Amino acid sequence: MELPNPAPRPEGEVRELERIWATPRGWRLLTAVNNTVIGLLYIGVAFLFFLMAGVLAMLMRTQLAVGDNRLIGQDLYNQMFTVHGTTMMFLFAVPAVEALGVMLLPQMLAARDLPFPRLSAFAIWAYVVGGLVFFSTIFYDLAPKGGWFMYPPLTLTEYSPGDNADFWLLGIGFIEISAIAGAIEIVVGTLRTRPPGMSLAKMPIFAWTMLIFASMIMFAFPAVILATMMLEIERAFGWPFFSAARGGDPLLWQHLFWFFGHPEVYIIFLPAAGLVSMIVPTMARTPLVGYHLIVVALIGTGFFSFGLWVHHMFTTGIPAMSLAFFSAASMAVAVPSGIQVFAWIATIAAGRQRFRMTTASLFVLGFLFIFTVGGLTGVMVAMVPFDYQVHDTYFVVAHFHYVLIGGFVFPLFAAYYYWIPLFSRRPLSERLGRWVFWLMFIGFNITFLPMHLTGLKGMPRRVWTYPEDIGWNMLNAISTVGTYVLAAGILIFLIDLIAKFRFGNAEIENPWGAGTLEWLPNDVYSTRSIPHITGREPLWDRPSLPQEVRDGHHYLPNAPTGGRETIVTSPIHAQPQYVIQMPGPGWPPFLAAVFTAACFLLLTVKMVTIAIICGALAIAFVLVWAWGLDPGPSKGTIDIARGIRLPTYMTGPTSHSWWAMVVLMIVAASLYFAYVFSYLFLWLVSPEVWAPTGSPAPPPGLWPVSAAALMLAGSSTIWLISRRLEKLAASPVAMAAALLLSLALLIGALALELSGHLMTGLRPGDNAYGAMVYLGAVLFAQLAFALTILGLFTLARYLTGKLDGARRVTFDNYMLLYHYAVAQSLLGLALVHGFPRLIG
Amino acid sequence: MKEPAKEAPTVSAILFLLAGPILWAGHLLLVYGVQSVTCVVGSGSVAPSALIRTLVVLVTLGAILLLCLALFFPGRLAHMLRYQTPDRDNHVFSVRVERLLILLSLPAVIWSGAAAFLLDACGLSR
Repeated sequence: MELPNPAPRPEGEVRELERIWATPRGWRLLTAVNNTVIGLLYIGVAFLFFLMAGVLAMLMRTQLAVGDNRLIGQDLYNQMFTVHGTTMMFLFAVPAVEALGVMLLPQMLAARDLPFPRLSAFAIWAYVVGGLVFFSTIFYDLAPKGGWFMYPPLTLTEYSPGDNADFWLLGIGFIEISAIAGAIEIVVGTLRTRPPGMSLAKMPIFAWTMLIFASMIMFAFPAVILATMMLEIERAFGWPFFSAARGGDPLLWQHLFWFFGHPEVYIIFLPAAGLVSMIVPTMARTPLVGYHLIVVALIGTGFFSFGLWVHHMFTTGIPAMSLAFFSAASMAVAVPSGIQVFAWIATIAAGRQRFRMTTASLFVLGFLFIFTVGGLTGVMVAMVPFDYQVHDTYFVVAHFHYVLIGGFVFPLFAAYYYWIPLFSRRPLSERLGRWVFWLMFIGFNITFLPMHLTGLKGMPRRVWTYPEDIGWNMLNAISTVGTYVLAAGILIFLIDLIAKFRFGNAEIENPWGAGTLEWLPNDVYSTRSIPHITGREPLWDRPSLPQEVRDGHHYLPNAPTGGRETIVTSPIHAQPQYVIQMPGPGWPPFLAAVFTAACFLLLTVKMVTIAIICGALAIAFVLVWAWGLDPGPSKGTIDIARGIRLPTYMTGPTSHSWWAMVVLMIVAASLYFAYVFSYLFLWLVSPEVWAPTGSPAPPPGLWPVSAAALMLAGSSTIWLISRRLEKLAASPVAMAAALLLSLALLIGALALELSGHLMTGLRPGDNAYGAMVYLGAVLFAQLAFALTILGLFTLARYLTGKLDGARRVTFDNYMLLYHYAVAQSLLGLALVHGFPRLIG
Repeated sequence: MKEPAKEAPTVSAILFLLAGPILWAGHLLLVYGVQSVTCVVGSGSVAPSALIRTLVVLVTLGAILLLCLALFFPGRLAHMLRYQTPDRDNHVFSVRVERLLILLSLPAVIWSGAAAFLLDACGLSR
């Protein structure tokens, strides 16, 4: 292969890169956006939550060690298992995966950073502040008590008064938004910032898993965001989505929650499997066996996981044939999981040299054993008759801990031992690592293996104590001892981590002799030059690659725009397309995150005025942050290699910002389809409250037709502005008038929709039908609010000369969201106004 | 700005590679939707069971047919979706992934559809 930049590089380029990518010091460290810095913060805080939720688990096990124990009261115990589960799922597992993505993806893809570093920083700080406040509720008797899945009617105000449940609903709802922000970053980063030549067929498996993980978040999380929104609205304003007496149904919550909750298991497991697929070939010193099969297994698992949600609801009285559909999918998903297990075993067997038994390898082998056991019990509970027997018993507790600890925690620890040399000057101790592994492995099995029997003996989950003479004492005592052994292993790890971890570059660059790009020589700017990729293990295929990269012989060895930048490539074949200019450190993302968290949390305790002020400040800081983006084409084109010149600015469907907006629209569409499902579900359950017989008939057809006409006129206005942006740029009055008109038309349509329903006498608190009708308007209003801010922001940029025919990214975003809002709202009008007429 | 490098639309790639799982998801949505709605709406009418069984079998056969077409004629599907991969590596990868995903989806569809022959359409299992 001919080197992209064969000539020697001029002096001073590396110093320039170091200056541009320097990490801020002191207090300004809070403003850092480098993926290695914020990624480390992200994973550090996620690990802190793991420890804190682990302490809660130990306390619960201590309580259950003997029967009739009075160490912990019932109410506190309820808070503990809720916070334990919620923290492990929402504050540890998903953030830890996103943290690994933020930390490792740019390194694995040899990108300077992910495409939206400030969005990453915002997501991380929002999570840190929101998560810590949520967890602290356990100390003030304010923690939720409804279990990590918060089923109504238990969590309705009648049965859960006070603010405890609201902390879960607003706190977790907010953290899910942070997860979605991270997912947008990962999807666009994986598809658009790969190094030249790294086509989909050559992408590292971890990148595949992160792409699938983030895509799954896009489709799964909106369902639970809608559910939390509905439950909070019902608690705060009495709109009866889940109250059976007024046409709602608690089962709707279960459908929405588990449509998120089951994929969530795979959202956690798939990236862990990706970590294993990276570690196994290195330790076996041979390429991964069945790369194509593993990609297929990952995609298949991701898809099938969305067809399993009802298997959490086998005992809710759903017809047998429906159960069979989901039972079949539950068993089908075992096939791709099995493919991966066999591929790893085959890779270990295929190595010509002996499999290296490092601490990371031990954790991988431990994972294989534990996860396989969890998978087998998973097939058992996928069988409806067996599930009837063990539902809500300790058998299920044992099963999902085998899947989640085996399927995620063990690979995560393997990842710690494997990748810490990338970020720390000293690696962790291999000798202590073996102690850590064996204590964790033995402790885990002593804790959870007996729980299968405890469950089969009939012990239900979530009981704070049990009668001493019922025969569960011995098994519970063994489980408790196991917990302490497991905790001892984690404690040794923690001590070793504190003793050894020092941020910086390791003395040995590639200690395991791995073949992937993260082991190239790294610094704050990632790699000196971005390599051209010709295989899946570039460092094995081309041993001279590290030196070539260090000497700047590959792409973009310098900083030609004078700022932070990386190469954007095409999504399938990774051909260079343009150079993205990225923002550096700044206070706005940090402050926006703090005020967003404050807004949500203050709403929880009903401090509405201060919450609104915080919300306004959060929006203000987001606008300050966005003001510095969209740099325009002023830097022209630059050389990234001999004979390759790329533009430094891009608009339209090729630009990364367009991609991010499309991803956001997919998230919004997922949420809206969850709404459509909810509407139809509640109609099926309670047709008697539906219009036109059970509620006032919808307003006359002229109302929705007029609203639709206004929206279409708005869309046409936007289309015209887009077509004539260059000409309009010379006419401030026409441009301002057109933008304001588009907003007025949208708001007018919303006003028409709302007033039409108000006129009929329908109120949202009347019954489930009224609640669903007005929820549709709320979803429309959310988009209209976002568009109002974005529209005024676009206008402000135009009036200050930062938007014209060529520099138009801000307008493009407004345009995309506007058209989406119109499409969604037209569908809403058809549903809300058409459906009652159809059934009437 | 003019784009320096063009390739097949990403949507085409997604639809081609994921043809199997998309058909599986469509099948699940249809059979579950048809069965649930018919059970509720048709509870008072004569024998919705036969209707549901027939619909489930028809939807399943349709999904199997489409999956088989995509399995045996990936070139035609790629042409229809305007998905072209100029280099051999990516072509082999794409076709292999598409076919293997169909092979995963096919038994899942048959497995789900088989319920129509084994279980009462609207009755509970206990």
